[in-house]
Formats: sequence, C-alpha cells, structure tokens
Amino acid sequence: MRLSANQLYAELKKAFCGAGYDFASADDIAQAGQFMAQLGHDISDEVSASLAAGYGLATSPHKAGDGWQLPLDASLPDMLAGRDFYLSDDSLTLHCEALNYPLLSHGLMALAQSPYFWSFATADAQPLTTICQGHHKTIPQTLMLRKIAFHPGAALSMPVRVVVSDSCYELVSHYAYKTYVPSSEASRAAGAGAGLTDND
Amino acid sequence: MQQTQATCQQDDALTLRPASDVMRLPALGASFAHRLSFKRTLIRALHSQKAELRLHEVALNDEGFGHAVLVMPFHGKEYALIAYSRPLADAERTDRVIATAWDASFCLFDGIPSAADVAQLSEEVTHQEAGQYHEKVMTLSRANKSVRLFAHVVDALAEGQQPDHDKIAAIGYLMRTTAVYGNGKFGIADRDVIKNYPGLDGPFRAEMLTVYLIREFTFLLAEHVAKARGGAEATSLHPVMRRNLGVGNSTGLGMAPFLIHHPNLLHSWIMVRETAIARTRQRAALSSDEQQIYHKLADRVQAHLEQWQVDDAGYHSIIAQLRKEWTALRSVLDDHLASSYPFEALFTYASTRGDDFTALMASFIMEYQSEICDGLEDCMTQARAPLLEPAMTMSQLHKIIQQHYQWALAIDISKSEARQQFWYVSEEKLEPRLGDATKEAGQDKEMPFAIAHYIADLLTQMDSLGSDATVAELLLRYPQSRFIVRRLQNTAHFPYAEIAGNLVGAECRPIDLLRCKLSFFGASKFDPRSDRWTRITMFQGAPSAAELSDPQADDWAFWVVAPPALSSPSEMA
Repeated sequence: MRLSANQLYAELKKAFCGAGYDFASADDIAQAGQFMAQLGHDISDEVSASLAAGYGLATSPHKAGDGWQLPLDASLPDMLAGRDFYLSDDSLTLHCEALNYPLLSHGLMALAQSPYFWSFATADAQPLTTICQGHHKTIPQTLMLRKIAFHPGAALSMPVRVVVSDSCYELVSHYAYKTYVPSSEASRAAGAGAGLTDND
Repeated sequence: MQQTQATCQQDDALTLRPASDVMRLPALGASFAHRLSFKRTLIRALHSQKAELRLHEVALNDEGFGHAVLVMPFHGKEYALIAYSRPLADAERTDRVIATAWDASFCLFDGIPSAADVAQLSEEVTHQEAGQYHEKVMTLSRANKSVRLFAHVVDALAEGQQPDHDKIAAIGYLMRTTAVYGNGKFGIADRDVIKNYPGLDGPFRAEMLTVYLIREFTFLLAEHVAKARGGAEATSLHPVMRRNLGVGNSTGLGMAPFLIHHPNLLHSWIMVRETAIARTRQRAALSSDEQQIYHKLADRVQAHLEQWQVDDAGYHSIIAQLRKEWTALRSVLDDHLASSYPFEALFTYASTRGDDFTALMASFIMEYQSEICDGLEDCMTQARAPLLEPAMTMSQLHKIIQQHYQWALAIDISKSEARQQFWYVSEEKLEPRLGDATKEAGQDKEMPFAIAHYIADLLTQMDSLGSDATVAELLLRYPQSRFIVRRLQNTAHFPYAEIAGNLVGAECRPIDLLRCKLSFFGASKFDPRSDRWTRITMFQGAPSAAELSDPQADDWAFWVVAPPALSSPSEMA
C-alpha cells in the first residue's frame, strides 16, 4: 500500500499507543518507522511483529565493560532504554546483539542523535556513524545490518511516499482503532456542534 | 525586514511578555487576528507576486451544480482549486465532522488538472475522508452554504440589485468550510513537499490559499446561479460587496489538540507575535501622518466592534465591554499617539483593562508597523521536534518544573474536578470529542493532556531517585513518564510551547484554544455556539482576486461592512 509519509507516521503512532506503548515511545517508534520507510526499507514485518508483541521491557540494559549491554532479543522498549543510557554519557558505548527489530532500532538510534539533520557516513562493512552538531558516536557493528546511502552533511530530500504491505497496514489500522472511544448516543449528543441548526 | 532562521532566536534587547502571562487560557482565548496572521501574509504574498486568478473551467448547471476549476499562479507555479458543487438536502446539512455530504467539496491541486483528473477526483473529493489521495492533491476541504444569505444574494443579483449590506454584515459569508485538511491526511501531499514550494513555505499557507480560492468560488457560484435565473437583468457582485463577503468556518474540538501536539510550532507563533508587539512598543515617536492613520484605524475598530454581533451571552458581554473601553480610549488616544513611546503608553493603558482589551490593543498597535514586523512570519515554522535529553539530572529537571510550571503546581489535583474532562477521538468518523469523566466511559483512551497530573506523578517518581540520577535512569524505572519529561525539557528551550492551564479541569473552555489558533489563521467575528464550537469569518475585507494588484491591498484589518457607495477602508468608519 502506498501512503504519504505523514499518514504512515500518524497511523503508526496511534497503533503503538493502541498496542500499549506510552505516548512518547509510540511517537519515537512512529518517527523511526516513517524514516526507515522513507529510506526505502520495507518495515512491514517489523511493525507487524512489534505490534503483535505488545509493550514489554524484557530485561534492563545493564552495565558491561565500557558501556551498556542490551539483552538478547531486545524489544523496542529495551532499545529505547538502551538509547537513553547511550546518549546520557558520551564515554559509553552500547552493545547489542541479535536485534529483533533491526530496522526500527536503527531508525530510533539515528533520529535520537540527529534531530536537526540526518547525516550518515556509511560504507559497506563499516560501522554506521551518526553525526550531530559535530559530535560523533559509533554504533557497534552488530547494528550495521542495512546500508543507508547518505553522505555526511548532505541535504536530504526524503521520499514523500512510502510503501507498506496491505496486511501490515491492516494490522496498523486495527491497533490504531484501539485508541478510539466507542460512540454512543450520549457522546454524539455531547459532541461539539451537536444540536445546532446548520440550515441558517 | 526579512528574517532568516539565524535571526529567529529571541532578541535579548527586547523584553517579551513572560509565558506565565501570555500562555494562560484566558489570554489565549482573547486573541485577535493581526498583521502577521496567515491570511494577511498570504494576501501580501499574492499582491507582491501580482497573482492573477483565471477560470480554467466552469461546468455548472443553472442551479449551480457541477464543477469548476480556478487556477492561481504563484511564485512560478500554478495551483488549481477543483470545486465540486452538489445538491444537499437540508436534513443532511451539518457542519460536524460526522457529516458525509456537503454543498461543495474542494481540493487544491498541484498544477493544472486534466479532465481525467477532475473526473477521477470527483468521487473521492465529494466523499472527503473516505477517499485515498495522491500527492498532487495538496489540501482537501468542504463547505456548506449559508442558506439564508446565499439565497438572498442570488435573488438580489438575479434582479439586478446588490444584496443588502446589513444582511451581509450579520452573516458575512456565502459558504462556511467545515474542515480543511493538509499535511498528508488521507494520502494527500505531505507538508514536507509543500514547504519546498516557493511562497507556500509558511505554516498553513496552502490551506489559506485554498480558503481564499473557495471564497472566489462562492462569488462565481452565486453570480452563475443569478445569471441563469435573471438572464440579461442579472448583475454581478460590486467589488465592495465582494470585499464584504468572507468565507465562514465552523470549528469544533479538532483544532485544539493541534496546539498540544505541536508545542514548538505554537512557541514559534507566539514568539513571533510577542516579538512584533515588543518591537512596536519600542517605537519612540510617530509622525503626524502616522498619528492620523492610527486615528482612522481607531474609528474602524470602533465600527468593527459595533458590527461584531453574537448570540452567546458570555461573548456578548465581552464585546459590549470592549466597545465601552474602546470608546473611553478615544478620549486619551490622540494624546498617547502624540506622546513619546506612544505604543508603550497605549499598551500599558490596555494592560490594566484585562485580556480582551490587551489583545485588541496588540493587534491595533502593530497594524501599520510593516517595517519592523513584516518578515517575522519567516520564523513561524517549527524549529525542531521536542527531544529527550537523557543525561539531564533530577535536580535540573526540578529546576525546570519550578521555573516553568508554577501554574501546574498550583492546581490541587486531589480534587475530582481537576480531571473531570478528557479529550478523545470517537470511533464515529474519528470526531474529536471532550468527555465528562463523571458521566462517560473512555478516559483510558484519552489524549495526553493532563500535564499537571503527569507532573505530580513525576515528582513522586523523582523523589525515589537521587538528585544526581539521570533521566535515563528515571525512565528505565518509570518508562511511562517519557512523554512528560520530554515535554518539560522542551519547554525549557521553548517557553511558549506549553499552555499554562489545566486542559482536563472542569473549568477548561476549549473555545479559548480554538480562538488562539484561529487568530493566527486570521479569523475575525468569533461567534461561539457553545464553549466548544465557534463560527468565524475568514478573508472578510480582503481584496478579491481581481483587486490583488491594488496598492492598498493590505489595508483591511478590522474590516467594516459598508454599502458600495463607501468604497475604501478609510472612508468606512
């Protein structure tokens, strides 16, 4: 299914809220999903799987050597928590293995560090480096699962149409629907504009 | 004075009013349109571009049903309003989101649509939210007729007469829009696309252009039906009558959540307005010509207030008080205008007379200050999205709460009325609604607007950590607080981003939020139908497309509806 990028973002945000995520986490993941979809990645499987898995903080990120270690098969909330620690101390690195949702995780990391402009230095077999206001951080090799072909500092012209599978969008809509309140005669009657004549 | 992003930072030489004052709900709910409102900046842009509207296609039957395509060239591109007019039974005419049919439906098209485009979009656009659109569609809108005024205007024109200006003054528009969608909704073009189009980079610029073209369509429609009925005897709207007619709009709760969901955009808008006010207050003196211009504007304000008629008892009182205070001002106005720092004197005078008079004065004093105000609109876009700062310590977070959220700390959240209302989206056509928690189910699905309550919870959570603990540590233990922490941190950078009021309290009046946003659009003649629903008028007094090249095209603030014999703003008081 072909959508506007903003339409995907808005639906993803509602869907993750509907799946039990808190509002800000849902917002972050929706941004990451939109971003990766705009880069041409098919996020359908990851979105479907993470929605079905629901909210869950499996195991806390914990200190390990010179940085933080994410649990195996980290959930998206784990990834967010790990990202927080990673960004809270310039001297630390983040170690993670066997990511369940590599695309969305990658998007979460990239957007957190580069809010003003997305700049990536990438090359095959090289670790991904994000650059934000002159500050460099390296994400470990294990996160380097897909190539993102941008050059540092280049102005981005992001695609404005994105594609997700029909089944994924159906699932997203299903979860988004959970954020809506069932209508009743009482709520309809209390809605803005109710009872007013519009034939004047 | 063109601005750049680099000059969009707060000017330290200016003293802006504090957020604790400006962002109160009663202050926001008193806002007036001003010279930096989006409708004003659009008209100036069209004027500077010497934009000339052309009718690309008119395929309407004698009753006015069919379609029309209006094309507006702008900054080297062409944009087309495709308008579909359909019969509508009175029983189906509702301005609410839950409507499924309208008198007219519209889209703004990127370029010139082919006949196939117009035919293909016909089914989609007339069903609005039920359609799925492509990126050539930039906005989507619909409107219903003001049945009484539309019929009167058509009758008059068919008989070769101009409509009664008193009737126009009482209503002000031939149609009122009930929604204008943009930014990727239902698959239409994202703002990220539109913002790169020259001239459409400002907030809601494409939506404003849509509404302006809808106004032109309403003239076309009324004249077309009148001509079909009256034949050779029929006449067209006099240019002054066109100016007297704006576009109506019915606005409900859907507009309010936008302000909470886009805090940094709200900050930008308020910051720009406050900067314009502060710069204006610094004017040391006015020439005698300038004093005379403001004297005439004061006459217009007086007449405009007289023509602002509403049924709502609360607003009726507010307007009556404004008229009284404006009359009193006249006795000292000339002295203030002739004094040193005249606008500072006037603003100080107004500031002791309540929010409504202060807001009116703000719009009044900045009206002719193009040299120091224009260009600030370039700073009205969102600088960045709110960003979590995980390294921040609890002590730093405490300081932010103390500095920026005293209004929240002052709320007694133990009282049930402090959380009596909840904002939600109904599954019925996704209509935004406001529920009463004591009577309705659904609070578990509310939108996250209970800021004061979240802060109270957060403070308890922070107490369980040391003052040096970081936000990262806090959120690992209390991940549900990510939203409020990010919001607090953001407010430290963008103080006008947060509304200083309890949006879920029993006393919250959504109309205050609606009016704040609508004032930036440029709405006038606020006509509340309840505390959560208002009608307004847009572009009343604006030059019609045929008058865009008029050198006085920008002089239409506080428009006063008058008969054609009085043909310029300065003569209308």
